[in-house]
Amino acid sequence: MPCFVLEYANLEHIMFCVRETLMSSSTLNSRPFMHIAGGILLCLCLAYTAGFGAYRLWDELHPQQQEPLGVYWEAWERIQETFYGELPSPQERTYAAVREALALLDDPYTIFVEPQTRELERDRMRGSFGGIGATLWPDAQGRLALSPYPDSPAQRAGVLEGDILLAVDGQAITAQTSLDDVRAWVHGDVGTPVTLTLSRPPTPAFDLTLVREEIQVPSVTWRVLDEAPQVGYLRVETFTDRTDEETREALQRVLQDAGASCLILDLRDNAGGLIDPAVATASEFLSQGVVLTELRRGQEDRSFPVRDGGSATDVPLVVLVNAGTASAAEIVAGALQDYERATLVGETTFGKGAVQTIYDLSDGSSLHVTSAIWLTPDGHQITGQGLTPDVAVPAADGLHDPQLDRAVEILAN
Amino acid sequence: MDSTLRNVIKFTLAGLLVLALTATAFVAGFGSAHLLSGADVLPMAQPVDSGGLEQPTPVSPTPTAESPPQADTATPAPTRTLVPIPTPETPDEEAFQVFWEVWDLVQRNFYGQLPDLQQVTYAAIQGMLDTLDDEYTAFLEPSVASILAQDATGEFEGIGAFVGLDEAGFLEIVEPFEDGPAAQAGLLAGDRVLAVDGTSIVGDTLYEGIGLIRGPAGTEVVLLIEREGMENTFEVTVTRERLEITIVNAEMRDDGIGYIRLREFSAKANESMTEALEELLAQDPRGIVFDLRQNPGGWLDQAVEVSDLFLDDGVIVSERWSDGRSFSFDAQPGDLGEDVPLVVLVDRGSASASEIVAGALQDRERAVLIGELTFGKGSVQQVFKLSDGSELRVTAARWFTPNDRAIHGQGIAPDIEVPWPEVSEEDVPQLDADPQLERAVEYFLTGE
Repeated sequence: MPCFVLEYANLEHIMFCVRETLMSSSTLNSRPFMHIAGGILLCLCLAYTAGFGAYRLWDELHPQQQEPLGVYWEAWERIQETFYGELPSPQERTYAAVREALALLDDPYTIFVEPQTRELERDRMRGSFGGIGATLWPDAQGRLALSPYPDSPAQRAGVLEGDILLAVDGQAITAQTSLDDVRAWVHGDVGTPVTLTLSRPPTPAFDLTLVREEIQVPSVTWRVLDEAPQVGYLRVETFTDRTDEETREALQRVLQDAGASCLILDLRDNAGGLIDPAVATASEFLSQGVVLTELRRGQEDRSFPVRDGGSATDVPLVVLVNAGTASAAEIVAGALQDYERATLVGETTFGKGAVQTIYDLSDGSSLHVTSAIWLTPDGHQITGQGLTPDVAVPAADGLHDPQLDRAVEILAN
Repeated sequence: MDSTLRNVIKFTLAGLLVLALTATAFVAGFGSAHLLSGADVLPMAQPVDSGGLEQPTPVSPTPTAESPPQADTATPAPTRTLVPIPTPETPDEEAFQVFWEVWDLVQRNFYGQLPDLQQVTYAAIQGMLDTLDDEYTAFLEPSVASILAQDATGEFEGIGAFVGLDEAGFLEIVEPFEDGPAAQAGLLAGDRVLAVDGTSIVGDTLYEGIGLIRGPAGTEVVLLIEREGMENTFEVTVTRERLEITIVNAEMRDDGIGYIRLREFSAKANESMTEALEELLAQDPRGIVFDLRQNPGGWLDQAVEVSDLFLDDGVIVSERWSDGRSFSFDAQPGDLGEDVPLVVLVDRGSASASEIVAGALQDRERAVLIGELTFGKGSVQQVFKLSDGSELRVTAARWFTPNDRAIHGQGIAPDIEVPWPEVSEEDVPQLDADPQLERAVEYFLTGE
């Protein structure tokens, strides 16, 4: 115990001081000043030691908070000394520890993202990347299916909706492959080739080579309904930093150019995205009030007021929602519902009204932390319960879309 | 008068000065001791502008909403005590700093309930262990460790029932011990225990439940029971007793063959085996069937001692450690069972310590193995008690049979293979038919 050795050494030091003082006082006893000086010195030495000792005592009596994660290091030392087998790299261990610790928070949105994936995510957030222009989705059998975007390299090369992806550049996709792995394989520098091995039963597996392009993922699509030309239909896929402009432009086309007199805003399967464009989109339809309030730990509640200049503030409006409507999309739908600005048609929404903040960490990984929650203008929490539609209509079966039909019906009345 | 006053003032001032100096010295001593004990804080990771956009993956319906990252003013709510971030001192700790970066961001920003640091520690350990890719290297929280430690002694104080978690996650009575307190109180196999002494255990782990059910002999425990076919739940009061886990069943058969079954190699394995063997040998059997089927193993020293019961000398098993050292365990002469003809029954469930015994007896040609290929666990775990009462089991060595066979991942093939008949719907075999045991008896009777 080094601390005791230290105290002991100090004691010797004091004895030395005392001896010195006594000696000096015996030879110099004609000068009382030296006595006093010696006494003071002794006092100081004693006080210093007493202070030192007092800290030790205090330390003992207030058992210091256990070294955070002390047991972790105990365990690690034992493993290092005795484990029969390869030890994982420190990074691997650390990441695994982080992931398990975050799992305790019981919040699916607070997650740790390792460096490679992080790059991809940044690409995705910019809305463009060197890719093939297709959505990857696991089908019912757990295989990876493709849906090409219109006019994308994938579509031009002949990829069809529902084709199953078996391998990328010869690298086979197995049960162990993660979606992130596959995305990392598919993405790359613009202009480089990538070979996809596809299966399209009953056709035997075949290869397609295509050249990666910068892919623009559109977030808003629009049309005027064939069956009801007075109804403008706007679908917002997700809220990106371009949704703002795209919505404004779509509204212009639908209302001014095509002359629609009422609107359907389709937010089905819109998983959310950025909050700012969502506020902007909601503001197109509202003239005043707040779109949402954000509650953050240790901070003032923050309101996002409706922005001026909405271009469709008094057009009759129906909003389509379903169980895939989440997050920022729920905010838009919730605000329009609370102000009775729109009729919500469809199903109960997903129920995710929490905000993540992304932090870049020192080693290139990143952390998403649920740092705030959102309330609708009337103060409803979205998380957990979602929004209840004003008119409940079950999901589509096949090509028929009863929710859209119902919306048209409501607007007709 | 004047000079006295002056002196008084002088001395008072001097005294005050000395006092001040002394106090300073005291503080200096206190402070330097504190500095020596070293406590520092890590600079915070700053939120970074991530481009401010997030598009949800077009793949699965995992909605992600990201607000543009904002400068984090980090005003922690007064109710949350922040864990101080330790300063890394070793390269390992440095590599671990990302963990602390994460945790610090979480504890400052996470909107929701935080787990306590102990839970975090256990989770971190679990995560670290997962990367070792070895299912036998395991961490046991204090509650679990103490229950398993009790079990390993072969004795415990409780209600006397095998319990498990059923598919829905409820604690279920799998089988009450014969004439045990649970059975006497009327508990039946299949009963679900919902609460113990008024505390709900629904959703708890198995060991949390067991921890509540066990207690000193003589005390009472009230269990809230749900039973299939009963409309209402009901309470059952059980008086706990000191119970032994019966690990050896022995029987002298009518055909003059002794039968011993060992269920596990707990701390009393050798003692119980010796007792049972003494009784059987006193009746002069023509042979002994030693049943190690479904025996998952246990302590290595017990495996060595049990093997030694039947061997007079030579190697029983050798261990090789990660640092290259190796040890072997030898048999000593003068044990009970060194001469009696022996058949060992094994199956897929014979693992670890069971395989040590079976392997030694086979390699030394001391016994004939009948049954099926064994499980194949040839690793040894070293058990460490950690400072907070939790336990760490680390795979530290591999063991090899006397003929230097490695068992890990392979198992031991029986000398005479007798598979367990497949159970099919139409052709339900006789419940008490045991073709492996029958084959062992046949071996003794016919000599082959």
